[in-house]
Amino acid sequence: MISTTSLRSRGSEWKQTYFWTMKKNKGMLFLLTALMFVSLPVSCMISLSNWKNSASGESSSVQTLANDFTHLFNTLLSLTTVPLILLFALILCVTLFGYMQKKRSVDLFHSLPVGRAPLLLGRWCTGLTVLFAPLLICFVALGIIAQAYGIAGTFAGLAPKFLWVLLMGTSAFTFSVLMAVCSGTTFDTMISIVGVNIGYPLFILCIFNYIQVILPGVHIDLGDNLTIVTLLAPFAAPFLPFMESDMTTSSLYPTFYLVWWILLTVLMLVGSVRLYQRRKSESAEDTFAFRIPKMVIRFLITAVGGFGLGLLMDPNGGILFYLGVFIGSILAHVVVEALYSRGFRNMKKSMAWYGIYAAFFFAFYGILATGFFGYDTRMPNADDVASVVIQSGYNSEVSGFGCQEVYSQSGQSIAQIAPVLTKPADIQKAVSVHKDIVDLYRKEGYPYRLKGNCGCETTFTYHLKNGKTFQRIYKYYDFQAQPEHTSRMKSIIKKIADLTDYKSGRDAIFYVDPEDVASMTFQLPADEKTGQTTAITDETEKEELFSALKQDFSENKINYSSEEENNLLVEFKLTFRDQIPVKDSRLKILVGGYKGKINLYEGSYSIYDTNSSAYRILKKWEEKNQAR
Amino acid sequence: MIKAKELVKTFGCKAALDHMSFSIDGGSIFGLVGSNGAGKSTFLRTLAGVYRPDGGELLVDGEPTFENSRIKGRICFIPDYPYFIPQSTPLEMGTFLSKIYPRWDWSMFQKLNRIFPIGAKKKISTMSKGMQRQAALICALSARPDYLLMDEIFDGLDPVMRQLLKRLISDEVSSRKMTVIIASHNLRELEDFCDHIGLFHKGGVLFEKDIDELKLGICKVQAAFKPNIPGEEAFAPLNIVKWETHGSLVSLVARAGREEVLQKVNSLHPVFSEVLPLTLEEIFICEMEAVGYDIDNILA
Repeated sequence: MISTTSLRSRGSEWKQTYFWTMKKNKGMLFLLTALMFVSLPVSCMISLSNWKNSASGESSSVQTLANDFTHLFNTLLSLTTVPLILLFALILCVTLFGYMQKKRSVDLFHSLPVGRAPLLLGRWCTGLTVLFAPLLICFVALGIIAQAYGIAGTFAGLAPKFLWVLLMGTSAFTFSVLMAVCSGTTFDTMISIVGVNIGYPLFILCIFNYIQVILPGVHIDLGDNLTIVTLLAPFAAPFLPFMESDMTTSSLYPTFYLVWWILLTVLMLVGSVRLYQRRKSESAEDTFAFRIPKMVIRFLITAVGGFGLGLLMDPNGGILFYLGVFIGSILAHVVVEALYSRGFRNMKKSMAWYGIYAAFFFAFYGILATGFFGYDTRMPNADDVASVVIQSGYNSEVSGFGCQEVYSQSGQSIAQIAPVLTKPADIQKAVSVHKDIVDLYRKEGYPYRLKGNCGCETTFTYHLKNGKTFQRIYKYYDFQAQPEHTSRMKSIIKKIADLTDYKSGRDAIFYVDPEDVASMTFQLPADEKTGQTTAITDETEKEELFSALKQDFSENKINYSSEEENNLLVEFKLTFRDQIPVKDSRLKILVGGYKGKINLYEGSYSIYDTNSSAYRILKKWEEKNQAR
Repeated sequence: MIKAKELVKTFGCKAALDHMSFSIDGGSIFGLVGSNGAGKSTFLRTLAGVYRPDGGELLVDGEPTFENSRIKGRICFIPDYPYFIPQSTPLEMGTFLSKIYPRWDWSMFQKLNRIFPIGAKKKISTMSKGMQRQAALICALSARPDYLLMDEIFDGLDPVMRQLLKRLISDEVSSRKMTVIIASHNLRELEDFCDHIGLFHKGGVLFEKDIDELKLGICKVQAAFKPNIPGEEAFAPLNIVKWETHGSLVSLVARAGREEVLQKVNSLHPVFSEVLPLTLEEIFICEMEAVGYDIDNILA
């Protein structure tokens, strides 16, 4: 008993276990060091040398080298180092903790005068040492290489990625240990590790998909929710920061995700120790030592099988969908049970667990179909709303280019341009329109069911006076792909589409000043073949035309029109200067909490209407020139 | 001293040790015998701290062994299939165990390596079954345990090695009062080695006795009667364990002293009577038959 054994002797037991297992695993340490060394510092050194030799002039600058190095480092880390760490986490789990899954080895190790906690922790530390000593050696080697090429500063900035790999390596290894403690055989350990790491992300993806296609008003952006998808998948999560197109340090990971993995790793380690102390030695060579992982994995895989096949067989929620859900889930359940039980002996008994999945499915589907406890009809009180941002594809006949996206200083997209309503009367109207849409969706398809999604969203983003945000995104489904639905939506949206603030809020030109325009050019259809454009250089003329474009935009006389496709009169192109300060209060609402300056890409504005202000100005200038 | 109090160990719904209570004195060589599945190996594993008891307690010098490194440092367990660290040699196993067992004795290790010529630097995985047991024994005795637990240790050892093993262990017992518990089906080997015997059956202890007392307390008598053989009831109040008749010859095994049995038999005026000594194996069979574990019952 622990109470009879001093902490000191436990420490000594840990030390003996650690040094002994380190001695036995030094081969593994050398192997991983060699593999990692070749895949990271050696590859980086060769590439840097090649770049340095082949580059000349401007391109050979330290900054270019540093950028190339950063990119290569991230690529190699994600493609070689992380997979190697994860692979060795699995191998080490088997070599270090496989003993508890064999009756003969259990006889030896559990009869030794070593407590289970030091036995497990000693081996866990050995695993971490074998995993991370090579990584640290590579990190130091890379630092020396970076120093030699004069990019040590850039290299130091990459340290958080190394720490992330360390953390996730610890997490993946600890998770494997936990599964080993819970399993009776190595095969079951592997099934459990793979089951959770594949089953959980797929399950969450299924849940996300079902929620957003059944429940009106919900949109789940997968890109924004990858953290949730990998929240319990330590073998998938390490890759997350490397999936960002811009692999800068600032976009490494959200803080909550980092904290989550630290906490989860600690929890898994404590859980492993506690469970190992309670683990029955006789469960070696049995299918499991603790039932929980088996139950969780069986549920996850059963759910994924059902949800997945149902969706494949009929994405519109018909009878084939239910058949698919049943066949998929029962097959998945049978496969998992047969794998865990090594046959069909316990199949009948396990069907009670299938019943739990079936109950979950019907409850989940039923809750969504009935509006998720009023989620579908919930909307804020107009009096509580400070502003509302509305994006809709039904607002007018006009669509196309312009300047619609706002970027941060570092070039990341931070907002879509959309009308912002702030006047109480406008907000009242927006809420009323929102309610009409809710009623329309209810009328067209309640109780809600699975349906094909055609995209085309109408979004209401309410910024409430209490600082909170309330958002609903309405999709356009397969069954609504008929003229009646479109005309109903148009007539609803029209109630706000004619509001002045709505009309004067659909493009970036409404949110910046003429001095923010760096260049303004136009092209006549006749010049399209030659590519000839005319630049407006006079500041007064530029200002006049800028105002005219805004007016035309407000009057729907700008951009693509299907009815006048062949009557293009002129096309304007506006480029904006870099680092524009956010002055407009509506733009401040659009960019949310972003405090820095913004960038806008080139805007393109097509004129089809001879009565448009911009066109009339051009005509006026032309006549003036001809008169001269 | 080892003391089991209402000890329970279950595997699923089957109780391998079912409220077992008995004790083993220190400094003795205790033989565990019993039918297959009686709970001998389970008892040894529980005693070694491998299994956690599901009920009751199993105390060594007043302390439980499960997760008790201090007590486990005084216990060595050689299971029926000893395990060695993969690719290790006896020397490496010794190095490993020497860091764990507080009373490890390298001089003993070297001495035993000379006695058992298995090769200290030879890979254990390449050794025969008997040699592996010798390697396990070398390691166990070098740890200088107070309690040595062995499961089917004679299995695979040649007769010379068995005698050597017995002598080494007897020396250890006499020199430093080591307690030895051996579970075995090889009753002939236990007979001249153990001083105490415990008979296990279906998770319980049928009896636990000094081996001499056991042998003195049960005896086999053959007697001839003419003209009629008296019935079994005529031998009352003798506790008859086994009763057989062949013509006018009666063969019985009774749980009583030699003199007592002879006196009773002679009081029935046999033509001839003699008391035969029982081997441990015969005692085992008789005792097991008494609880219904005999060939006839099994075949029936």
